[in-house]
Amino acid sequence: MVIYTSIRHDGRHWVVENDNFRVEGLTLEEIDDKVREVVRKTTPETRDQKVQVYMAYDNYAIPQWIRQYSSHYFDRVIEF
Amino acid sequence: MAQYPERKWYTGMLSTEDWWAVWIAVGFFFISLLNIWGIDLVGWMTYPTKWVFNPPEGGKGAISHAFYALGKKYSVSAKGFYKGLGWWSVIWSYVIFGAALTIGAAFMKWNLKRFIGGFTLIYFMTIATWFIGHHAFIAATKVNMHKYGLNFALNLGGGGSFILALIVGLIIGNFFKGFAAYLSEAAKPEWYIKTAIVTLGVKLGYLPIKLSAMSQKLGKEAADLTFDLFVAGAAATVVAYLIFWPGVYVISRKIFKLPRKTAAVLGSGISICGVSAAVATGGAVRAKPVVSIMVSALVVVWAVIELIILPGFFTHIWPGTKDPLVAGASMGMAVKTDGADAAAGELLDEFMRTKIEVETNGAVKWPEGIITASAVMTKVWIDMFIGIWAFVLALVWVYKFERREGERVPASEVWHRFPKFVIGYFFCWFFLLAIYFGPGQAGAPEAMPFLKTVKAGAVPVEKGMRKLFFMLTFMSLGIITDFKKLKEAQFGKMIWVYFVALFCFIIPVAIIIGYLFHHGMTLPNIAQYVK
Repeated sequence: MVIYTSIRHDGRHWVVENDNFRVEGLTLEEIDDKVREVVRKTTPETRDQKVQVYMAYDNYAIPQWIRQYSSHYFDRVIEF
Repeated sequence: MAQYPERKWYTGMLSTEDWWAVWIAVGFFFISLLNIWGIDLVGWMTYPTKWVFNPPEGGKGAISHAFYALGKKYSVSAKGFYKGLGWWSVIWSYVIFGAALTIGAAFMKWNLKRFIGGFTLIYFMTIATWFIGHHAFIAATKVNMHKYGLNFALNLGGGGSFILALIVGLIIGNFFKGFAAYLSEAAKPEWYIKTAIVTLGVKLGYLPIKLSAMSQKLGKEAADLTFDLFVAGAAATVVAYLIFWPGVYVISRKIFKLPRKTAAVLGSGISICGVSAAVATGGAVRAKPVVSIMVSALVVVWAVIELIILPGFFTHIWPGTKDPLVAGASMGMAVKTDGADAAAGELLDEFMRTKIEVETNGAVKWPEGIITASAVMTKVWIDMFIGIWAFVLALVWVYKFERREGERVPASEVWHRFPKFVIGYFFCWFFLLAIYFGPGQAGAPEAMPFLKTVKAGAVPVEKGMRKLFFMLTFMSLGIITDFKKLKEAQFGKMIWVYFVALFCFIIPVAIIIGYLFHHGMTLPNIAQYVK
């Protein structure tokens, strides 16, 4: 099962969100743990199957003056 | 605005500057090809000529001809119409290019009122500097200044206009910051230069067609030379990556004791390609965005410093006109940001061509744009490899340095980081080469009428549109460059890492690599074919 989310850094925290949840953490490890926990809680059908959480960096969070040079930061996937 | 769906391969096609550079430049390129069927919809593109206040009897330089529509000279089907445009071609170019750019700005969700206002001001300031820069005292050379009634000229060729545009932009950016802030919505040097680079692809594809009108042998020489640049640029880039990045990373870590992620981002920003590499690397190593933003801010300023220093150095100190393509290729590896590099290449092209013409008293004239192409070619290859390099770094970081349970790196990252404007550049280049070798019969005399129709369309795009967008780039680069940024405390050691790495390592090594792969490549002499 694939769950799509966006990720960004607000200057202090990493923030991962979609229509169903929003988590934030100081490190990527912390946010991955929170994502796993909230996905298992809010989506019961994921308890017995492999899950991929696709995190697309919200490129509109990149300052506009930089976007003309590079419009993509990173996407990452965690599996559990 | 957050995006929840999976990022697809086509994501960003209507919302990024990269893709809009392709749509606009390739769009006008396709429109120009209608000339093959006798429909000329690009002859309105404006272009300056040298002028003086009081032209001599029988001489050149009337102000009334200072701007003209390129169709006046090159159109096959509408010469009479475009001849009548004169200075009105400036307005036509403003309206049509302005409309095209505004459509792009709308899709990218910019503030349209600010964009239109800003672009109007930037465009007309650009035209003003283009005009002033073409006064014969600035632009004429020792060889042709007598035609304008002058006994002395600065010998700057078209380079004077570029320098003037940069100076005006820098004055605005550093002393009129409120005005610069207003213009910032339209001061987009990377967008303009990426559009210009796509039209440079039209130039390279058109070059064999142009020279084959002088002689079929010259046309073949031009085709071979552009292919040589393609291959040499690739080889030089691979070597540059393998030497530059580790070198700067080690300087950052061992000498300046920067943290690993900062050293990686700074390493890419200094050694590879400035802002895009810094952002790509920041993403690859999962650095907080503030690291890439700070490095990017530094890169933008240092790139303009390089743009100011290097073209003059390479022209008048070393290697001069003995090895112009070594100079171009070295610059492509040394100057960060596409905007500053292409701008520096264009300046170098003007300086070198003027110098050789003066040195030989007109006996040697080089075709315009090849030296620019040598600077851009290495940069284009560098841009293409950024995605691969960032992917390699991501693999190293995610699977070795900072292993997190369950994380993997999607291979699609290579495509998302690929510089899309390069697709437009190669597309236009190879499309025209296919026309040259195909229906153009490699420049055979019987194909000349057909090639003349291709020329009618290609020249306004590769000359008028390209030069205008280069001018817009110089002006915009100046507007967005604030030298005071170098004084900001937050940069600390990074400024010195940049200075030491760039001037003591990158530039010298770039010169050596440029020499190894481009020494001996010669430019065709077209003096006997041009007035």
